[in-house]
Amino acid sequence: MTKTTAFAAYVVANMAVLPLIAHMLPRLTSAGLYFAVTVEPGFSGTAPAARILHRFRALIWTSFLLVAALAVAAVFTGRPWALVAGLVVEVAGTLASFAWAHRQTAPFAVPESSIREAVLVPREDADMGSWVHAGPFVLLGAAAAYVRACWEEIPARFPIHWDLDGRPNGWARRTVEGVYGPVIEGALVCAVLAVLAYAIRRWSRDPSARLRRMTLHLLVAAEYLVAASASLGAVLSIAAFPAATVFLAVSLPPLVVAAVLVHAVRTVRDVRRAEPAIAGDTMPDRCWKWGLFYVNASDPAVLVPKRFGIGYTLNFARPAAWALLVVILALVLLPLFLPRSTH
Amino acid sequence: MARPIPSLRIDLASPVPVYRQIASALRALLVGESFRAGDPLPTVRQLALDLGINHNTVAEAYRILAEEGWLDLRRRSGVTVLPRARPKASRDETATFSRRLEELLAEARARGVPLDALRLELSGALEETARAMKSKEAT
Repeated sequence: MTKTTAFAAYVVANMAVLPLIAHMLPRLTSAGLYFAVTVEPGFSGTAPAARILHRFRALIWTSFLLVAALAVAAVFTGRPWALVAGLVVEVAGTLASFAWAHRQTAPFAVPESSIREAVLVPREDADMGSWVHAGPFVLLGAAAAYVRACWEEIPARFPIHWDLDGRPNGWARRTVEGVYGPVIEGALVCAVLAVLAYAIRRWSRDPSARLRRMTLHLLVAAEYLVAASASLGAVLSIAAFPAATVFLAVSLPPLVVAAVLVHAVRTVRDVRRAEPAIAGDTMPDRCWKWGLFYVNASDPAVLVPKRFGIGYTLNFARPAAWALLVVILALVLLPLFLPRSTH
Repeated sequence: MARPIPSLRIDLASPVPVYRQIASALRALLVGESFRAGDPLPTVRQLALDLGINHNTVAEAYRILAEEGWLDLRRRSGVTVLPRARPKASRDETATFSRRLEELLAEARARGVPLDALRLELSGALEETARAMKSKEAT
């Protein structure tokens, strides 16, 4: 297998992730929801539901095949812009497939209920204190202090990226931004995750306490994983680890993430299957724009469970949701404005 | 044996204000011994989030029950159920409740609720209350 063929296979495998997720999502939502439309709990087992699902899956995989062909052509003809175009087309194709399925399901929607129900038991999120978010910053601080202590040992130019043969192809210089860059970027990502955890704990609504706890645990685990990777990135400036060791250390986080995601998907599926139908939907269909964006001024929740997908989405009618979005975007985009010392 | 998890149900389309629905439903659960003294209740913020309604609506319901001596509202430790002795109703209070019951019966008849259904509901509710009171006195 040539390097180009291997790279093309790698690109296609990555592009298959989105249709794969979209393929599974309809089976991971609550029994009372189908393509973001409120339906009777048993609707997913009916013939019209099966027909919609079948066509939705046919659409996403057809669009994937087209995009994969485009990507392979882009790799073999050396046109990187075609890869980006393929990615855009893939996302657009998936969204269009969802929009089609959403429209097809709409006639089966049940009338909006005025009944609301809640269990009178306090939440048990307090099992994890806020101090748990300090750990990753302590780790990053320790890495920064270690690098500072060994400043003289750092070569003027050190490798930070390697090709498939283990030869360095990316370098950084011994400057504040070159050496501390990974720590700063790691701290920013950890800050985003900590803000998200705080917002979910304080302003979210989820009928399943188990899923809520799982989300919070995943966010904390992600913080520690990012902090560990960023600390390793900073220490790379001092220790000239063999390329194989670095490759192993770098490939470990994606493997851990993949294992955790599989576990999360299975948990979500089990919880969704077992959860009882809730009387009254606090999020009426009319408050969901295209089934994806939630806008409800009379709902105090800032974060609500997605109707199609796993995790939370914002209630765009709440000013706090926009403030949260601005804070997260600022933290995500800040690295773009930091001085660079890599080449 | 584990107690069933108490839940609360409201109807946004009802002519009865939501805060009164919450206060009435919670009072019914408190009277029916669904909670013990010291049991924690969801905070105002949590209950408002779970029901998808304004915080002030839940706060008003909790305030009514706190004034009646059912709940202890504290900023830090949240909402807890208080031990509450059953007071002896005055003649005026008894008369007020008789009047409210008459009004409710009249409304039910005006809406065409069958008399038998009303009798069944009322006797069932009275039996349930008597049973709860007897079990409380026994303990």
